[in-house]
Amino acid sequence: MTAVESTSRRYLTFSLHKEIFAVPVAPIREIIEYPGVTEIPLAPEFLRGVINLRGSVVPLIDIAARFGRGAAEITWRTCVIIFETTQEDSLGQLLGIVVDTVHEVLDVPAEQIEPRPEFGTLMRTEFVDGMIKRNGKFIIVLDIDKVLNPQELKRLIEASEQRPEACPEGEAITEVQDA
Amino acid sequence: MIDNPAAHHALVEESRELLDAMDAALLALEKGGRDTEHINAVFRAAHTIKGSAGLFGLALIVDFTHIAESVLVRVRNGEIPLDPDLLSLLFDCGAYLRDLIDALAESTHPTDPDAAQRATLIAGLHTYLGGPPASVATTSETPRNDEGGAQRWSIHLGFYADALRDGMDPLSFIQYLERLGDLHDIRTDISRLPALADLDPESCYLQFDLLLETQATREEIASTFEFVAEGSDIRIEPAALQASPVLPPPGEIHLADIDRPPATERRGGLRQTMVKVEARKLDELIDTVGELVIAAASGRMFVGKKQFDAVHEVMGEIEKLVEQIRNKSLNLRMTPIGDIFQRFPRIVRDVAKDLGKKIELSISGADAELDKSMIEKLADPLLHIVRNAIDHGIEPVEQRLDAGKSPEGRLRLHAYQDSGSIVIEVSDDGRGLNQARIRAKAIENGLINADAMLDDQATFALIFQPGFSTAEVVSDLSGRGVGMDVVRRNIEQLRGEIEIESVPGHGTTFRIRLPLTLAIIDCFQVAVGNANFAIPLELVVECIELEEALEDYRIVNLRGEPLPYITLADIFHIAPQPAAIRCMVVVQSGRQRAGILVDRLVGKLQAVIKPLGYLLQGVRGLGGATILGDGKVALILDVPALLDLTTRQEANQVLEAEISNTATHKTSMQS
Repeated sequence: MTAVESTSRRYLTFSLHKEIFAVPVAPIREIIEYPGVTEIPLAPEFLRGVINLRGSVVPLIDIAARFGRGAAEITWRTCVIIFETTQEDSLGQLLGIVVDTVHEVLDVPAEQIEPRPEFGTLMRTEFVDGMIKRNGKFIIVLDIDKVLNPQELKRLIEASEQRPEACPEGEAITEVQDA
Repeated sequence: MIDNPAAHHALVEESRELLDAMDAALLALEKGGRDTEHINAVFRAAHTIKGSAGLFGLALIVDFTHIAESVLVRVRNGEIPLDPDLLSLLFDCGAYLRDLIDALAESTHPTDPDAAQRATLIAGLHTYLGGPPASVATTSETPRNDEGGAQRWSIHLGFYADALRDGMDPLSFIQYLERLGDLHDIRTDISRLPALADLDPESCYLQFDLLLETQATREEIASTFEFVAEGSDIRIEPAALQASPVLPPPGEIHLADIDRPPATERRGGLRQTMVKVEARKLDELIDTVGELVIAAASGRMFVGKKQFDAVHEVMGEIEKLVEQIRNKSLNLRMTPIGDIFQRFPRIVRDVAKDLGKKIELSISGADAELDKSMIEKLADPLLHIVRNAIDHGIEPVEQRLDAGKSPEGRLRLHAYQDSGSIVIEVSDDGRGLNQARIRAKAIENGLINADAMLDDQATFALIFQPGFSTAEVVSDLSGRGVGMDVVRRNIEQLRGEIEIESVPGHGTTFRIRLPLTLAIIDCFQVAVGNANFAIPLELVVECIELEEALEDYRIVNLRGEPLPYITLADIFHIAPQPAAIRCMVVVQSGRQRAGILVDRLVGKLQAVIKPLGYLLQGVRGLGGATILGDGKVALILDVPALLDLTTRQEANQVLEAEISNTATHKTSMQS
């Protein structure tokens, strides 16, 4: 086995609503089957609930809902990727994301990562870190720190909790996102 | 040794405790005048700190404490009077030592936190030693040559083997020698110490070599050892003053190694914390674990014999033991709240002195126990409230006299247990909170609208808003608008709440209510739709089944008493199970009694509280989560917050309804 060059990075690819995404492997703690989920009352759509990960209570984020593409459908192939946040005031907090299927780990040399396009990905540009070209297709590399930004998620959850009447299903969330 | 984090931590902890003890003793001296017991306490504290710091080669602490100790020796021997100036100097020394220890807590190689202060204090101490501060910067071991008449004696103490059995404590002799003069060096000679296997713990193997500088004669020194002279090898010889570069450092501790900075000096990592546990508590726990092991063994035996009735019995026994162990192990974390209360006499004294006020502090309920981790987090908020009370609450002496009050302001710290929570009160008899001014300030800061209608509690609660301060004079101590919001946040992080009671002209009381522990609680499990919730059992008064249909308004008739209730399904927008018999859990939170309407009662549950984590911290109405027997997560209800939330929502609804009614009424009048 040859040593991985320092200029290449490893990514995990997964699919969500028939689209393929990649995330850097570094912050990933583990990948588990979709477990039993306890819903949080009055939570925004992107917060699926909390799960029991060997005795720790871990919030489960539906990133499909966060991207404004509707809640992920749960099938027998649905997985949860557990991330560990690295930010100052929530250091070590675990977060799970729901994905349709997990594919593979890729070693991608830095020069093969294209800068993010200004539009066309149909999601907030700051969520996109770049694009990987693979078999003639483009894979969106997610900026997972932005997607799972704890401060922002916390704000959105609190906003949703505070005005329960105004937030039936989904619409309030996209509204806040645009703001 | 210094790169042993446990030892380092222990040194810091121990020194802090000693400084607390020293402060307490100094305060007692200030109040009650000269008292040998208290002087000894101060001396002991200084001496022990010096000794422990010496083990780590912390010259910064050792040198300073040594000088302070020398002064204390003279006080103890009655050579100098303990006047207010000296007391105040000693208080300052204590404060400086605390800074040093704080610096030590940050780094194993502390630097001087305040060199100017150190120099001032040392100069001050030297005026009591009668000598010029010549050797300020040098280490304590360097002899002072300018003291006339003193001679150095090299003393060898080889106690006879049975000395300990005869009740002779070598340490007391050494301590006595200190009263004769300056002990410059103590070296322990362990050459007679046998291998551990051969060691008789009741025999005395240790020998000591001391260097004593004193004006006493050889006979006076020798008389010290009258009782042990027989059979012991005690030699007292004059040591040449020139031969002072003292005895070589003891062989066992390599100072050079100690001075070497540790390989990894990582800061900000996981902080090691320690809990002091009474040996009795630990013994009890271990006994119970022993019983559990036996019960488990007998259970296994009965299973082997297929005697299932007996297995059933043993299971019951095991469950009982597990619960006992749970309670006992939780008990290990409990510390009396007095641990933080005891810091306050000193703080109050200092703050009062700075502000030129007179304060009489009374403390009660210091034995109430609280989780150790909470006690630590409670210290800062309490400190803030106390400072605020002295600075803003209690009036200056003249104003107090004009108002017909005693010149001393009264401040009271009081703790007590109240149905599953602990309550801490800080009350003063000062001017009380000025509602009009709070209101004006809040309007000015845009916190509320000019026409907002607020009751007393809501007005007082404004002072917890970030950036709020009504103080006209920003003093050094408080009034900078940072603080009260932090106080509230800290208390809320502990799942506690804070309320204010204030009567203008008569004083203010801050009341902090905290849960007893953060780790495990007994809960009552209920179900709504498919969701499970846990309600802390200590809040549950009773459970009732409702057969009759409920009225439109949210009040139910409970044995003739009106009981307001909330419907969990409505609040959380959960579809309730149709046609189920509705159950009501009656809860009592503080003075409020209410019902919680649920679909189903599940039963009692021991909940190991799991934090909800950063993301869900702000969710109102949830106090945490726990894991059920089937591995699923159940949410623990924060009942007080839930009731509070409902109260406010309903008030808003009523208000809105009223406004729209008035509006329609008006239009109909006009038409």
